Amino acid sequence: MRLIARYAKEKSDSFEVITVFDKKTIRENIDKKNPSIKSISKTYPSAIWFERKMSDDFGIMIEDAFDTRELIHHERFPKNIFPLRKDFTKKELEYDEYKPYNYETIGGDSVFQVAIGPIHAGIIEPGHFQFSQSGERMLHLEVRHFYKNRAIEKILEGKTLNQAKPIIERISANESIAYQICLRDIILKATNQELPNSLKRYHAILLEIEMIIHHLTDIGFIPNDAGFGSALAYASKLSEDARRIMQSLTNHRFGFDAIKFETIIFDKLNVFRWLDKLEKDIKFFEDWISDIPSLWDRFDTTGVLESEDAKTNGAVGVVARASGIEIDTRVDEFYLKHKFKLATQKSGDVGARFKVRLEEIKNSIKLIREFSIYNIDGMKLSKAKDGEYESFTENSLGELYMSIDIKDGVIERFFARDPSFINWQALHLMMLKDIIADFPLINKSCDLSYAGNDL
Amino acid sequence: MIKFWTKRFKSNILTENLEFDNMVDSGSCNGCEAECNALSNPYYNLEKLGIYFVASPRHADVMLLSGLMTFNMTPYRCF
Repeated sequence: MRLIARYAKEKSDSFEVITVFDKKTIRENIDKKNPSIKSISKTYPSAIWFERKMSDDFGIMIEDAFDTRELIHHERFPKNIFPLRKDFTKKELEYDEYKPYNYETIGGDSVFQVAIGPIHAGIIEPGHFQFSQSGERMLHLEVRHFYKNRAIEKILEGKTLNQAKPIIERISANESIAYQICLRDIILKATNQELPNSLKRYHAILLEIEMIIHHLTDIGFIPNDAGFGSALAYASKLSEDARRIMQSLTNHRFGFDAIKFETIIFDKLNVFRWLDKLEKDIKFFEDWISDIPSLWDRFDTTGVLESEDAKTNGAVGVVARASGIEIDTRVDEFYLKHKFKLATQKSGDVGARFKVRLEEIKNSIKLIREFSIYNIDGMKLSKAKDGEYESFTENSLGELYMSIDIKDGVIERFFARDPSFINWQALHLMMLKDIIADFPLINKSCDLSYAGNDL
Repeated sequence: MIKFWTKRFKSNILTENLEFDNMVDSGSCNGCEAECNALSNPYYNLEKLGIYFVASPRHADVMLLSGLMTFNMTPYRCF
């Protein structure tokens, strides 16, 4: 079984811990006075962050856990404050005294630590990486995040779905459409309605365009990190073109507020002209880049994530598919009907992830052509019913999981598990055979989100 | 060389080009970062105008801070 998410919510007289696997969901009720639960991190290593987060948010003790450090609460976070509990209503927090964080390190003669971040020397989001180094070889890496934790789960409590939408679509700009589609599915489940096929296809087009933009940016930045800058110049031009198409369709370069239920006219001609050009450009790009031996010397056998490791860690998205695991939320009736093809590679290295991305761009082009439609019928939404809803969407990073509880017409608990949350935890496994100079390349080849991860 | 510096001190210009910082990101949605990266694509080509993104605020004339100041990032503020 693959672990998808593990999170807690507060009920009137107990905490409920929900563990979502791909085949089943387990719900456990635990006492509120002395909350504690048994860890599953020995069987599912990716549960570690989920459990640490749970314990930070609700003060739930994790029995049997070998890592009980705080995850979201950093050095100066006040003690014994559990922000996601319903009785926590403060708007401001005072800084507490500094208590040091014990990094996972390897000791020994001539082993030293390299700390990178949280503020980086490039245009990147904040995050900390702690390396244990033996010379230039990486022995261990600890990823420490949640610097940009905006407490979105708490902010959304008590808001209606309509009020929540602008916040949810701004959790992570690169995945905005995917978050909106997740929310759309939850709204549809809550109102017990079906989406008109034409609208569903239009939304799928937007999702594919978002994926294309993201993958294009990546296939530029990955060679750039291996010292091949002209690929970035070329690919960033392509991704700018794609972004402008997104803007022409949705009036926003990132597609904020794009997933709506109204009747729309789809500018087919413009999109198809762009697709034809992109197809040619990608073909040129692929021929060009495949033929640069010094680049592939860096790509091949660098940052290998073994298929076995990817499976135990429940990796998702491009990272999993490059290691030969066939996971994609898009493998369903709707997408298969439109000739969706899964892109996988076996070697699990940077090169494999690069090739998967290239393949996915080509797949997305084909999919958009299949989805193409002239008239898009809108629909009227009825009132959302109370209940617990969940949904899945595939974005350029992997499978996105969202769950929303609605009570009295407002959100009681919002939980989203970004694909990065799982994949960040598998990142350290890719480092073991490489030198620290390869780290930026490996990190970029996974291209994980910080904003979606930190929530 | 001395002439060069005297002239620049007189005219109050300390650096030759306007240099941006690497951008300090606190609690943004990564949209600002993506757009700042897009500034160096061939369409906008920001460096043509003599504006660079540099690695440290120490080298910079202007610092961009994106997003809201989060609780966990505030202790790292450099201003």
